[in-house]
Amino acid sequence: MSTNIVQRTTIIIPKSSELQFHEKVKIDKAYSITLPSTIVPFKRQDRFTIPIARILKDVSYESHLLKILKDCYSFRLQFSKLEDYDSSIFGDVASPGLSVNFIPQIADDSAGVYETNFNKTITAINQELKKLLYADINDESVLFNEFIVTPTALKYFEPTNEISYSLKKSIEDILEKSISTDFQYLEISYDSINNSDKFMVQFYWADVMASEDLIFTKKQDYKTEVGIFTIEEKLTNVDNTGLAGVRFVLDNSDDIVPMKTSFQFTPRHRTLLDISYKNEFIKPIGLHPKYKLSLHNEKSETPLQPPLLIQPANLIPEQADSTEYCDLVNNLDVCKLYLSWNLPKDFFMDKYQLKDDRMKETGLNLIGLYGETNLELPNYLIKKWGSEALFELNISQAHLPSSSSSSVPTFEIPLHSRYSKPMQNITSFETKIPYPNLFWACDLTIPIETFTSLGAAFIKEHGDETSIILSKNPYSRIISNFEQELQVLQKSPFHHKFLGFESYFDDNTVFYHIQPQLDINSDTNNQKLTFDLTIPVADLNDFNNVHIITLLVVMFSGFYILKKLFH
Amino acid sequence: MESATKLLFVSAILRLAFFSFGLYQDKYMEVKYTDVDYMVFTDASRFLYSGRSPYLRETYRYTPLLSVLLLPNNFLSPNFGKFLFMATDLIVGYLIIKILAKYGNLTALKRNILASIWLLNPVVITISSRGNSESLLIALIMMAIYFLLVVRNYYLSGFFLGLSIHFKIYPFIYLTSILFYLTGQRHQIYNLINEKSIKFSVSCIVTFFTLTSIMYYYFGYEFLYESYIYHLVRVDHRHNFSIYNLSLYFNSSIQNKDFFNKVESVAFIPQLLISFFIIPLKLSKIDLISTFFVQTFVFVTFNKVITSQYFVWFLCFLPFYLRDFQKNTKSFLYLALWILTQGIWLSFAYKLEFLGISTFYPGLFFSSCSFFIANVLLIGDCIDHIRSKDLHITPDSEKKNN
Repeated sequence: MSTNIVQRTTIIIPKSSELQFHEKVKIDKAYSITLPSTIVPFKRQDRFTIPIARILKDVSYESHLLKILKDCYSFRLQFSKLEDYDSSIFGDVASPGLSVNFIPQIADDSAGVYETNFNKTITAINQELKKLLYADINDESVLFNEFIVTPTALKYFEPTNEISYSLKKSIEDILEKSISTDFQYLEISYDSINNSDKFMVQFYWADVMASEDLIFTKKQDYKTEVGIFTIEEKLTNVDNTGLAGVRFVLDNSDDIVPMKTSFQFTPRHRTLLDISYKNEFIKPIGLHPKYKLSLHNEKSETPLQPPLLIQPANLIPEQADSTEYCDLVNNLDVCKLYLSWNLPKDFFMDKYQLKDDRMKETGLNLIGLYGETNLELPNYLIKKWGSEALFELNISQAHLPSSSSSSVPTFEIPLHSRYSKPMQNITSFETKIPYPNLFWACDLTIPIETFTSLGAAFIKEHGDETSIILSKNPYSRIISNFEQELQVLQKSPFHHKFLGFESYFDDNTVFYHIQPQLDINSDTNNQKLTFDLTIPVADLNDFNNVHIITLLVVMFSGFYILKKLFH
Repeated sequence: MESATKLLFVSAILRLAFFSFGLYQDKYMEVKYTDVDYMVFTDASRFLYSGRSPYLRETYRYTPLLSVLLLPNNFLSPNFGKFLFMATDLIVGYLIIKILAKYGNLTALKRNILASIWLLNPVVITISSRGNSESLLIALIMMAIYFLLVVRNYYLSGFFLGLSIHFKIYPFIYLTSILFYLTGQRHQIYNLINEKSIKFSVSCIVTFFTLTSIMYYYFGYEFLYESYIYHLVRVDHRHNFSIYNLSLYFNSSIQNKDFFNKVESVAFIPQLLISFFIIPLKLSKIDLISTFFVQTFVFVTFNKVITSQYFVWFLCFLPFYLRDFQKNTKSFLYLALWILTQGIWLSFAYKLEFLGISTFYPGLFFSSCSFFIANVLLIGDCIDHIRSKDLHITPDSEKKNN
């Protein structure tokens, strides 16, 4: 088995600058390729696949990442910038910020010590995680929030816009090369259950402006593939991406030659471009901030649902009435709208309030709330980073503000802030809440099963009629379409049972993500994906005054009452 | 129809009206009428109904007995509890009329006017019709008083007081007053042990310990912790009327405290010293129920947490206190100050809670100090009033002053 690291770099350039770009690519057959510096921004994804044996063989590594990996069955770290970027092509979608999901591997040799081993492992992972994410600070006073337990994994989250030096170093050690940290998305994953021998590191840059030449060179123990593509419009739609261009393979055996390549791929995570959401906190923001989200379509005729079942006309069975078919399809409950949210510990949701019938009547259905959900404690008495919530949003029940002429489904989620530590000279504590993830999750088995049974009923009903010759289910083309899609997804080399919010859904699910609407009034180019909120706190400078005055008032009052009783 | 019956009838109608409005508000308005605690009791009784512990509901900090009483919420009507609390609220009013009748010098009209302070009080009606359980507790205390003073059944009186202590610890402050009261003759404090007081205290103690043991047997440490221990160890960092509030918020955020900063651990000393010992000792023989009034007033004023529902704890004794009260400017001014300082506190609390403005210091702090002082002035005034009724003491002190 090869112990090579495989690097696959995919560059996507705009169609308009394709020729210009290709002309300038320099190939040194024996050694390297050089991509030109360019004024045209392009998208780039780098995916490194490393055989696990290669990285775990060298135990002398002082790598915190490897120490964690050794204790985990599965591990997935995702970092996504807190600024809006176009993630539609590769479907690399994560909650804004840094999320780490993992399943610890507990040594269970002899009976009775499982709990001890569990605590030992968990403590060790927590320690290493702290060192990994907080740049080797051994200082005990550095506050580190512990992970929470979700139904599928242990989870750590922080709404940060940067990765630590320690994490960067760990990645560089593994990849055996230096990396720059200006990416929008980073993912590190390892899954000993489903994908036992591979370790994966992936970067994505949504908007590269290469001011210098990009050089890819052959490297010992490395296989590098570089592809320069443009989007093939004919093969591209909301479900699929078609790419065409050239590909180069750099390994030690062969010369570097350009290979014409075109292909189509079907990501599990897709992005709806015609629908967006707007969100805000309703002002004034007190100790009970109210979050408001509304769904918008670019054109009023665009449905808010994913176009999953809008099949080409030739798929509609000839026996079926097309309007009847459309009605049927519209009533299939294939897709459900979800909101997944990482809430830092400065805030909490009240599950009792959210499970109230009146909340459900507004279309808000809390599916799960994990982590720190205590309703009373201040944030300085909370150990874990916060909580994770998953809501199902029901558009048909959503509130439709009467003011706007078009129907804009609107949802409101009540939050509560925790009391924060009093600080010197400060009366408001600044904190951040990342945007939630809003997506449709569609279960492909639903249309398959529905059409299969519909077809069976059809055959039963019309089977005797000689005018219709039925050899097979009239819906077979639709069914096979969905079955094909499922097969593609399950065979996809990129697919393994991921951790994170996807893990709450099964393998037959495809996701359609909805992007936040850009704030036109924003000064900067990058729309932030966080809310800046403040929590009022007491000023620690008043500490002594408060104590002395309290004591004096209570003492004098006590004496006053005693005097009244005894005079 | 007798006038008291009419009053009770009107009171019942009013409660039903508030309750019905509550149903409407819950359905159509942004802010709900039903008390959050009512949802807590209901959830807890649902757990109990399904054979599980009521403490599975977070923030359920009451005896399991409460969720037992609310079991019909699960099969009869979700509003059963509200009707129960409104009924106990009316029982309190009825007992107030009954106990007032003991004072022969009061006309029926005056009794009804005094009872209206409770029965027609919109604050009281709102609290019980929103589903707050305070009226149930007050009814138990009133029953204890009714059996003590009117029926003179000391076993039953002790039983009800024991029950009320099991429900919410604080009524234990009435124990000392009742024991002093039962010594009978003045100046015979050594006479604490007598037939009446033994009947009363044995019944009270047996009731409390039996109930608490039964609950402990069935619900274990969780019951002890949530119902009792929690109230001793809780971190009261969130803003409330109490003068200690800001100190407690500061202290809860500090790991290493020196003795000076441990306000919370010594706060109970003045509170209990005054309300549990000195006031009963000095006042209980002059006017027992008015003593309860002042005791509770002091207990609430010096407490580490004060919310407005605590005011009901002494409001129920107000009709007795006011029965022989002479209008005077000073008391009126103190009352005005009490209302004003509360209003000021509420305006700062509104800015903090709903506008997110840090009003902890000086705004909230000084308004809770002012409110505290207004309370203390009123307490002093009440003590003066009660002591002025003691014909044997007043001439003495007048002599001294001369």
